[in-house]
Amino acid sequence: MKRILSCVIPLAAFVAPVFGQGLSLTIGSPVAGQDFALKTSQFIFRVNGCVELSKAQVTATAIDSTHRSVALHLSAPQPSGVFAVNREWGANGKWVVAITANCLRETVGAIVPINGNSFARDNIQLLSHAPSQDEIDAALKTFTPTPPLRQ
Amino acid sequence: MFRRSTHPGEHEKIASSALAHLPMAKAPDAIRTAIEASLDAPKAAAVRVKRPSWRWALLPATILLLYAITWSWYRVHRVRWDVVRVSGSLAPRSESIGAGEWLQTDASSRAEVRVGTIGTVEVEPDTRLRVVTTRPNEHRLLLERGEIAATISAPPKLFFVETRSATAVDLGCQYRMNVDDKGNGLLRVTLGWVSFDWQGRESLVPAGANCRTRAGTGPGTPFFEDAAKDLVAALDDFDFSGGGASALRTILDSARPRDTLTLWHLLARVDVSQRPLVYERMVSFAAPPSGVTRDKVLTLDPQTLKVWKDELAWSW
Repeated sequence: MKRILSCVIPLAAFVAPVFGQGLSLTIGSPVAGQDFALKTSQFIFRVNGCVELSKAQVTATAIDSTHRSVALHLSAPQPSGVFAVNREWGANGKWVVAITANCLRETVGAIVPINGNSFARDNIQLLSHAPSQDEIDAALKTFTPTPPLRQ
Repeated sequence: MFRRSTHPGEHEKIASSALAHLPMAKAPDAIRTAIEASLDAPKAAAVRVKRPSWRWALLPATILLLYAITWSWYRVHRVRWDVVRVSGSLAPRSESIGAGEWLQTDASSRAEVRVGTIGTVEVEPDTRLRVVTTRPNEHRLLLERGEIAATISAPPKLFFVETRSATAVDLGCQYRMNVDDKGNGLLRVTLGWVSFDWQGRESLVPAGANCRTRAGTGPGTPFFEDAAKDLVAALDDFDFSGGGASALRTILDSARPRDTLTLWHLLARVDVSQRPLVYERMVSFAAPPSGVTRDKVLTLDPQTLKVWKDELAWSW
């Protein structure tokens, strides 16, 4: 019995964050941030289910179809774990933003295609791991930006 | 009169001798009356008022204070905004506009108004507007007719545009708005949020969404620019033509997850009997967040509706 418990207890501690709340990402328009200072962001995202947000490692990289990449400076996380992605890449070309979030022992990712001054919501990929190069290439290949809405 | 004497007490002796030789006479009654009156008067009146030595500075200080008040009032209320007018092929012309003044463009001219330090307003052709307030904490325009495009970089609720049927309250945004002579118009938000309200009826319009307004009714229900045409037409019918249950059915049937913006507003605008239909359609897209219960939503609990709106905004 002791042997079983000694295995189960550490396992439960590991499984809890995975199956309890579970680490995940939510991608949204800047209006979801409820903060006027975020309004000019390309998009924002929220890290859900991370019990120690201060220890979370979150990175984002913009990659284009010619494999140029730009490591993005994410704005300081809001109290609710909301990050803003601002345009730091060129105006030309087809771009996606690859996001990786690591919290304790969990990692999730997302690939967000960029469409003009916004993002292509219907083409977002939410992943249970960091985006791989193949997944990024596939996303760049299949995604076709649509003309921006008239201003 | 008296010879100077060196002996002490000599003056008193001379005076006493002179008084002894004076004849006695009765004093007039007036003197007695006056003495009695002065004895009866309050002692305070007899005390001499000590005036402060700085009293002479009062007048210039008052003048200075009045000048400062006038100057401050002028500064706050008479701030003028820069205007650049462009007319046809003529070179741009700069001028300024202050509170109470009108700005009008004709069919071939446009203008750009610099709204203090918080942003700009582009004034399209055939537009007439008036500057209402230019205070640092309240920048207010009245759009009588025509079209403007506002770009504001300031905290919320510093910039307002009134029309005959609604007031656009900037919540940190960029938008375009047009109205006709009657006050019918359309608001299109391209960045941030705008609150569009009139007589307690409020529409919250985020980037990518539009909202119509009609004289006599006020702002309609906001909808996303890429919403289905059926939804937009039915919404127009519901908001301004008494479309009722039939229009609502079309709206619910053609709504997408993103159209929860429209449905969220409709919760408070439909009949109580129709509210559950709207709620059920909304939860069919995504479960409401923790704490948002059916009962609280159907009773339009303000805090519950706000929490739900903030969560739904992630899909807007």
